[in-house]
Amino acid sequence: MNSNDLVKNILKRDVDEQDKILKSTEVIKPCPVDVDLGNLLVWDPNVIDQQAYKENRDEYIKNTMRDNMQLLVNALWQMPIERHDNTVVAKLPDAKTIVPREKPVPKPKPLTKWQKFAQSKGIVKKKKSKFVWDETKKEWGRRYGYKKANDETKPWLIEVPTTADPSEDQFAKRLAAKKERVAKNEFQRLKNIAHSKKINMRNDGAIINKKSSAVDVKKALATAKYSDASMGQFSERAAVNEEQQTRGFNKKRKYESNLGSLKSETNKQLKIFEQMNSSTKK
Amino acid sequence: MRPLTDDETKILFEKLSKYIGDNIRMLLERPDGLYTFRLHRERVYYCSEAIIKYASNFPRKELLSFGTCFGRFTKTRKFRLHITALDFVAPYAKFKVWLKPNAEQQFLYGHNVVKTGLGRITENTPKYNGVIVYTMNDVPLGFGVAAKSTIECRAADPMALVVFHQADVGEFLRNEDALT
Amino acid sequence: MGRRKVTDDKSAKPIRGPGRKSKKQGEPTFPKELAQTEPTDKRKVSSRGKQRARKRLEKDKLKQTINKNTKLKTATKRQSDGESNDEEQINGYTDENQQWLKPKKKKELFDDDDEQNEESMDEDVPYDDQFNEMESSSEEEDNDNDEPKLDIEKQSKKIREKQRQAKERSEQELLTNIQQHEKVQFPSGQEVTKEAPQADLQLLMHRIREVINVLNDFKNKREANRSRKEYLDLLRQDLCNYYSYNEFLMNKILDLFPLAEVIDFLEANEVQRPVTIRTNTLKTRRRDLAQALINRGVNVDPLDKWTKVGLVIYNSQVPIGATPEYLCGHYMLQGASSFLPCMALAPQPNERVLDMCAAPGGKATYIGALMRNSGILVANDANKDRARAIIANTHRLGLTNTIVTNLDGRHFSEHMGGFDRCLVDAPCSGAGVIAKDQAVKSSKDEKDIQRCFTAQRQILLNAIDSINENSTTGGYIVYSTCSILVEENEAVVQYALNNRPVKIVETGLEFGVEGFTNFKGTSFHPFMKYCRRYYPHLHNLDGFFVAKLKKYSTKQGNKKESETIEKEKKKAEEEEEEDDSPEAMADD
Repeated sequence: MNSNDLVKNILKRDVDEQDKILKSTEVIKPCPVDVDLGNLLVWDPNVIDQQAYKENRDEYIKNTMRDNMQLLVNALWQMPIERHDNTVVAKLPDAKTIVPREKPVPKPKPLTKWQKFAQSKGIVKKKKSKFVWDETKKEWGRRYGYKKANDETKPWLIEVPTTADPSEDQFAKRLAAKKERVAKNEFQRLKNIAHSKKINMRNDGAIINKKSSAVDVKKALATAKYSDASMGQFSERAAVNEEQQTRGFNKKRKYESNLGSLKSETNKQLKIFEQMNSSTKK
Repeated sequence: MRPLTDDETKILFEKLSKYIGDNIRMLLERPDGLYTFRLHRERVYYCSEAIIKYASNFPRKELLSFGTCFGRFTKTRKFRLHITALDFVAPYAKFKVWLKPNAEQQFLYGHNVVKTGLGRITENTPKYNGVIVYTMNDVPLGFGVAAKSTIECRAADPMALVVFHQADVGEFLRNEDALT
Repeated sequence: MGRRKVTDDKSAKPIRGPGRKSKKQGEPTFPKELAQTEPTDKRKVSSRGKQRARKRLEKDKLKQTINKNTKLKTATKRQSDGESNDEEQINGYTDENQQWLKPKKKKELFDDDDEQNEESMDEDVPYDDQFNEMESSSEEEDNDNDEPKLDIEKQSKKIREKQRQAKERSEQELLTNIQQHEKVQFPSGQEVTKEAPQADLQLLMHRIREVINVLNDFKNKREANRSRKEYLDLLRQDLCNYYSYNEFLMNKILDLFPLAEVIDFLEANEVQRPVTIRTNTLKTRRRDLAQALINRGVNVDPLDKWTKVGLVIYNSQVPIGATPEYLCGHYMLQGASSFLPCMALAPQPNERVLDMCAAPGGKATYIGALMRNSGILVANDANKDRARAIIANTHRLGLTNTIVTNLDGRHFSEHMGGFDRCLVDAPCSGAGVIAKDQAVKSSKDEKDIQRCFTAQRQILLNAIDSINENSTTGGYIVYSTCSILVEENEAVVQYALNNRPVKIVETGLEFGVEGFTNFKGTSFHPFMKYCRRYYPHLHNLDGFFVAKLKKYSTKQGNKKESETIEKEKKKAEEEEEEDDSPEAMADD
């Protein structure tokens, strides 16, 4: 009897305590709360009970929080639920509330030339798998890039076509062609970028600089003059005032030392002066 | 700051010799020390060795002037004599023109000199040669170019131009900024 | 390879960021000028510009609405003549007058005025304000309506103005007659706050005299219930009003001078100092110059016995800054006070001298003349435009030993050092040259002064740094300002004494007031008495301060140093005598 009572008592006390700690999952609010499960967000429009709030602020906030949390969890359980490896997973619906972005929406990148063309022709990009089967190696390999499958520059044997020159290195030819393609692509990429940035550009990709055109002509002239086998040693003077035209480039300025011997400097100047005098006298 | 190149020296001397002729030699060979020309920001300065050495230690941008500024090279590489050179040019002047007191003011405002304002002129002044303009009591006022030779001056009518204005001391007030 | 994550298409994350390839090479950059200029692109408007545009729009709108309203009103009035609405009936103005009379507003003004006047009826000019108000209000409306005035209106207005002035005058006379009794009248509390600008100047002066009289014999003449502080406050207030200073500067002046001198000083600030010029001894002699100027119709006289180069100009028929003599560099237009620091510096030929704040070159050219165009003179100024003036002046006066630089005085010693002498004529508040620039009276405050003296301290320390303490002939720094405030003078020198190996030496100037050794509780170095102060009312110079410092080497023993200093003093004296001798002969 005694022991039975004791057990009963203990059990009863336990249940009471649990009742005390665990509140019911049902929460009743005068005004139904707004639950946005996509953002795991609850919006409580109920009026704050001023008196209760003033009496014990922390307690009040804690209680309200708990109730709203309960409502959120309740709503969660309403969702379709799956179990994966002993964990319960709910699938959330799309978010209702629009959360503001920190930064403005990025502008769409301007289309490349190919993209524009494809759009006009209605060409749609096809999704291709990354890996392809290499028949010769008998294994899967990447479609592009390092150690790619079916690399045409690296077969163990190439048949020389009947029309081709027999002494030509077919491997080198293919490698060169590959390099050419890469370069072309890079050139197109740069052109696209320049185009997207609205750079003044000729059709062949040369950049037009309107501002310094006169200087450019002079510069080009000067460069052209020196661009022969003799580095311009035997080329005629292109213009009478070539010295002026080419001033500032191609020639390094050389002056006397600022703090050199003043005596020699004045002597030099005197010599110049005498020369000048003699020439005028003649 | 740098020494003048040979071309620049030539241009400078050609200009100076119009005013002081062979006396350029006196500027270069001075008994009281070594003096020479230096180019700084397209301006030609005439100064002693000590000043060159001292001034070359200042940052280029912050060094505004040293010694005496003689003039500047234009963008077309001509040399323009500034009024600041007057102190060195006037004592060695070959050809001089003296102005009457009432013509002084006109000249100082940048006008050419007409014959009525002319007090005296050196004999044998050739046409279009540089002259130094003085007041009647021998105070130098500026530079000019003789519009007429001495002989032509005598025959000229009173309102004829005798000296073209080049630079005058009034510029110290009028264009202070351009001097430097 | 690890296990690949199984994902369905929807939840598959889109690949973020650029691929591996673009990591290799960034996008090329292009210079700005290459970009196409699109004609359709509108010019960008700055945020301020936008604000302005918005305001403009609002204003326009407001104007439009106002115009509409007025038009409507006038229209209704014209239509309904007799049976207009209640408001207009109350106003009861005829059509002609309603153009310029706004009844409701005016009534309020009248009410206010009446109340005010009742309070201050007995002392203030009673009807004046009312008139003003009426006048101004009518004027406002004139402006608002933008209507061309009729002749009659103009005439009537003139007549009214005349009447008003006559009334004012008579009232003032009355007041002056009444109020000149012996006791100092303290203004009531309200008066103190509002009366300031309009107060009658004669009365003010009278009251100032009275207060000073009382303060000089305070025990006997005071009113029983008034404290000394009250008298002083009143005095300060009145002086501020009378001479239109701000309170800050007036406080400083009252601290500086004994009461008897304050008025002299303030009066001296109202009068211009005589125009003085300095003979350029490199090009001419004083006697010759004076003769030449007299020939041009200028009335000149030697300045004073302490200078051999100064001339004072009484009157002149020609502009003194544009005579041929001036342009040829025979003299420099320069205040007499700015001779003093150069004389104190006493530069010797073949020395290296620095003028830290040289523009416009008056003092620098004097130094150059004292050095007789030998040695090296570096004239520095932080302001490039003002530094240009130095170049023109040095060339005009025929200085050939000058280097003109445009460095910050606070960092000068980083570029160049080893000078024998240095003149620091620091930029200052200008409290000594109020006569020259009246704006100083009201524009300076505590912060301006603080800004000045921090800059002065930095410049002075830097000047000391650029001096060669082992110089055989020099090692001197002269610090001068055209301010009379202690903060900018003695305090700055004291700061230098505390922070650098320098000591104060005699300036060699025979006259001038000694510097303060203590001031308002702060005590300065006892040698501060060697400094010299100059006041407009005592010396007829601009307010000025000159201190001469000597930098000593910390390595040398003290004994040697004192010996060398004595030697130098003797030398300097001798040389000064030499300096003066040719001119003295010329004068004889």
